[in-house]
Amino acid sequence: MTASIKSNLPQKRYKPVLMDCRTVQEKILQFLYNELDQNELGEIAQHLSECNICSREQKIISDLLSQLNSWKQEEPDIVVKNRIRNNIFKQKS
Amino acid sequence: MQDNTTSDVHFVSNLVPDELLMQITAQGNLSAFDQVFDRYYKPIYNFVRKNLFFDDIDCDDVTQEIFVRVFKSAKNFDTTKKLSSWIYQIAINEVRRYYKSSLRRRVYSLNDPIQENEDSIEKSETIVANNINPEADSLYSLRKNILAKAIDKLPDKQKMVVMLKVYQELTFEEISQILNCPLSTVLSRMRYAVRKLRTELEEDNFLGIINYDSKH
Repeated sequence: MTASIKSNLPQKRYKPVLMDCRTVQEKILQFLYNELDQNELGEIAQHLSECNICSREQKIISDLLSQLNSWKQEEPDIVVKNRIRNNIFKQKS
Repeated sequence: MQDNTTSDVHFVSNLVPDELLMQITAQGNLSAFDQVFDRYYKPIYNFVRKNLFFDDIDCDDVTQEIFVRVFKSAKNFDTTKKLSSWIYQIAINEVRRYYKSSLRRRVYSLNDPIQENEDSIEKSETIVANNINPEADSLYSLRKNILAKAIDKLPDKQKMVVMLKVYQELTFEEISQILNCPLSTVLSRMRYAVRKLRTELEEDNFLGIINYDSKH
């Protein structure tokens, strides 16, 4: 299409192109861990607010991560810790 | 410093950054190594504990071996790199070494129904003795076992990403440096792991346990 024909066409107002579902779902983990730049975070947040499929996927993954996080860090036994420290130091000396 | 058997102990402030601590450790300063040990013992202990949850191996021995290697290899540490990444690399290698070891013996079979391991039973007994909400604790033990079993079924590469991301709270970028692979590979492993865990936990009716737990 040449420039002259283009200029004769009525001007349409395009909505900004949203991220597609595939891209959103690929980036959803980084989104949940807040490891994207502000632009991408914003784009994904907007997509999620408008797309039921992706928003359901986000909820499922988010729930799963919460479940995984329910396995807490343990506080190590201080006696064992000191024994290990001493063993290492004995090997050195 | 807890140990009095060493003569080359010079106090090192706990404000010294990791990388400098390793430089001082490389010169044989035990106080500097003590700081490294203190900073990383808990996360490394938990990393080993979760990785070898079902193995009949003393996690303390593995943890000790990791720190022995950190100490012995201090001179090889590249101080332009992050110490945490280097220590996790050593920890992963040690855990994998135990995976491959002929000593590896599983406490559960993949076909067995979920069982409590000795540790959780012992812990439950202690809690009953101390009269600390045993119902909540036994639910936690059950939940922990289901999670551990599901994670343990993942292929090693995916399991490591889950361990570093979910339980060590590292960024995907840090994990890609530790595992020495592209960020896209780390993300892909995590996505596959999440997919498998979803299926696995649904099969074990994990959500039912969560819902039951939240009502009590």
